[in-house]
Amino acid sequence: MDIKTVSNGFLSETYYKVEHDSGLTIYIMPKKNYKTCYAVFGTNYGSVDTTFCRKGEKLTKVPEGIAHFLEHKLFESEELDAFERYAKTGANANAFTSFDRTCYLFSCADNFKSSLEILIDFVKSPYFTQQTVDKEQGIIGQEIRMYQDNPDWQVLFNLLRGIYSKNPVRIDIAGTVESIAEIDAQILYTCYNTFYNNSNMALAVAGNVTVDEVLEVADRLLKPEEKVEIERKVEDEPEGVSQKYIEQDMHVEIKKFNLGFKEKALEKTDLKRSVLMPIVLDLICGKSTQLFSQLLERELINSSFYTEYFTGRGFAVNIFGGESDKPEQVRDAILERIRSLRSEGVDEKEFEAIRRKKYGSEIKSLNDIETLANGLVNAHFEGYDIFDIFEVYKNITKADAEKLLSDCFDEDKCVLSVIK
Amino acid sequence: MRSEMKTETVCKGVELCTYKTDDFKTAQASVNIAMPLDDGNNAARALLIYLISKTDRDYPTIKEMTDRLSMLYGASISGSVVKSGESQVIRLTLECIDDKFALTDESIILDSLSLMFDMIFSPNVEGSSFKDEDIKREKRLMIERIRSMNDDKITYAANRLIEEMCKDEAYSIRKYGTEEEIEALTGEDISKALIDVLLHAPIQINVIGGFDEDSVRKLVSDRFSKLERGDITELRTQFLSEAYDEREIREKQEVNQCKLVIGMRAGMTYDRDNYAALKVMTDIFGSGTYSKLFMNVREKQSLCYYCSAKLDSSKGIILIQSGVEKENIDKAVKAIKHEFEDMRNGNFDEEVINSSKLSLCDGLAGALDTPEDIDIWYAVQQTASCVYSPRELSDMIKQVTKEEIMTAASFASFDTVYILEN
Repeated sequence: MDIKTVSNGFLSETYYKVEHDSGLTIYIMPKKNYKTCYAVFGTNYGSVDTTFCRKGEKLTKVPEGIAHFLEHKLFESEELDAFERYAKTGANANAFTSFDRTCYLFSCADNFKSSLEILIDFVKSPYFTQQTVDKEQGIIGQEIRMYQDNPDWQVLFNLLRGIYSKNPVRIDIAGTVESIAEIDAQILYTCYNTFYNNSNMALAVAGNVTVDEVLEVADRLLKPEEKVEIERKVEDEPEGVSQKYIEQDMHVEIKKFNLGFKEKALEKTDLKRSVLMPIVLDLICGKSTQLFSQLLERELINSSFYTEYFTGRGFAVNIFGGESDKPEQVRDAILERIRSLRSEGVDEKEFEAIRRKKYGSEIKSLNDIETLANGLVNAHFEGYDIFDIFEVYKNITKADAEKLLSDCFDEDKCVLSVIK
Repeated sequence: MRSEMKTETVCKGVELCTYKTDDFKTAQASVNIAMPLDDGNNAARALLIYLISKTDRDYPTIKEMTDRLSMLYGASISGSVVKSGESQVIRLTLECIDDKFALTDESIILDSLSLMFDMIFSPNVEGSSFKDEDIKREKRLMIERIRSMNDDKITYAANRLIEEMCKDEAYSIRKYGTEEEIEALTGEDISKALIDVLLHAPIQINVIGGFDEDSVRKLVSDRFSKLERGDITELRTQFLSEAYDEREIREKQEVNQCKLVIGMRAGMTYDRDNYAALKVMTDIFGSGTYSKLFMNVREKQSLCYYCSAKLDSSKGIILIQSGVEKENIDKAVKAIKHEFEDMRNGNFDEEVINSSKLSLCDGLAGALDTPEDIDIWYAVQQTASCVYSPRELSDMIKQVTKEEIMTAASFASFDTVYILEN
């Protein structure tokens, strides 16, 4: 077992990275004077992993929504389910599935070791039967129906379907009522045995905790596992978008829109790009721009307007979203702004103001043990150190922003999704 | 080391609450201004708080204010409105990084606090009136905010339930007012609302972080003690301890899934009445994953994805929310009522009581773990009849007995069922 101390003097923060004998990487970030502790056990597996195999075996295509279904089902076991066990420790437990991750988590003030024991134990002990699978179809069916009534969710997924024609990021994380009906216990085991291997997972704990507490439980519960090599197959995605305009009628009182640009998905995380892109988005239409004020004055956007660099394993989209009765006019104004920024260049003062603002919000995130632990898991899968982000902020320049501006935001790869 | 929240009176009806700590990377502050929901000025105050949070005399455009905040390392100051019992609380909230992380030598906390107070004391006015174009902008934004809330069907259904269930009580009044009220506001209404709250509203200022206490005290005192405060408005909430009768309201909209909201009267006669027992009762009934609604209506019967209950002690009501298929509505209502009957009859064991207490107390133990948590914990109690610390509440919860839980359930009664169906 190897324990590495990672410190940052300026931020006065330290975490420990443990390469555990079981093959699992464990991150522990003690925070003094915090009463609570947050733990997250994640696997590098999400809704986009629809076609895969263990190295040397035959490729399998699984039903859409199965990663999320598996997340629900893992809470069950032959005896007490995980929630019933947590009820004895007082921890607040949950889980989530995203496009490229499945994470199981809890927060607690007391009984940390008992709760960590439950977390590791249930995630490492699958128990699926046809009967429990059938029961879950009703519950998840209602979860899917709930999202169908959520215009913010729909406007995003319609955008993704407009941008991607093959990439599985276009499918709903929970799948459809029809696709989850195809799921059975056997397919769940196939997915589990591929992706829930220690080498494809990470555990992170932040808050009121010590290294010894975590390792005492980990040593007892985690058994060495033979590393599983995973092969994922993603169909070739054309360069262009699938549909430039998508509209859905949901009878909303005010139209919702997502304007998205298809960007190159990088093989490996480029931290500089991840830090710069949100700055570029703010330079285009952040609150400090003339464009933002003009769009407000022209009554084309409201307080719900936002921008996001939406990216994960195999996908990257720059999004401008909000509510507007005339989304096409918002799109045209943003496209015009991008053109003029490219030709006129970025204002030094504006760049500096936005750089400071974003840096401030990174500092703020160090308060939040949930953000920290989730950040450690993300950084693990993407191969960087969370403190690197702060270094990047020190070294970026307006020329970097201009470069990104010219490389990205291709008008031909822009899609407008509208809910009316 | 952390201190406890310290409270001092700055001037008549203005309290300064400070919580000094060096544990965090950021500081947080808020100005909380409370007035009755039904005094006819709620729409003006709601508009006012959003209006003043955008600009001030020194930074008269959104761009200038945004640039100023960015240079303060992305300090953020935002306006919001909450309903607390039958009071409306308008809030300015400030978040900024701690001085020690500034890349230059300046006090981010004091400069940001000062900027927030400028929004109140030096607003962006021409003569004595707010600018027409700013009012016009904020009216549109407010109306769109109201409409957008209606587009979230879960929120919409909950709001409709309250409107129907409390239609003869001030609580039915929406926190932002109605679209028509917003539309009808004049510049004078808004200026008057500002003067009115500065003279008469109970005001609570929270400051949390690693600041210099004397400097903060001086800053607050310099601004607020100059006010010539008049009589301070008294805040009251009407509590109906029992439902008159059970009603069912059905409305149709194009939804995929029907939204079900059930309102109950909690049996309270004031905001702290039987509070701990009700908290545990509601939790066992429908909050935790060990709760009756989660275990039976969701897990055993697979009727829904979410089905939960929450207590609003500021008004003495319990709200139950779920999303179900149309053909399952009656089954779900019946199942929920059946579970509540079990609460009254004591059909729950010591084990679930322990789980509930453990979970509630565990949550309370971490209730002051971030500057934001600390701010919210004390801000929401501004209108309460007494202020609890998390530890006090935790001690009260630990003492609740099964009999007390059953009694709490037996005093609660079903009032209105609201169904949004397709």
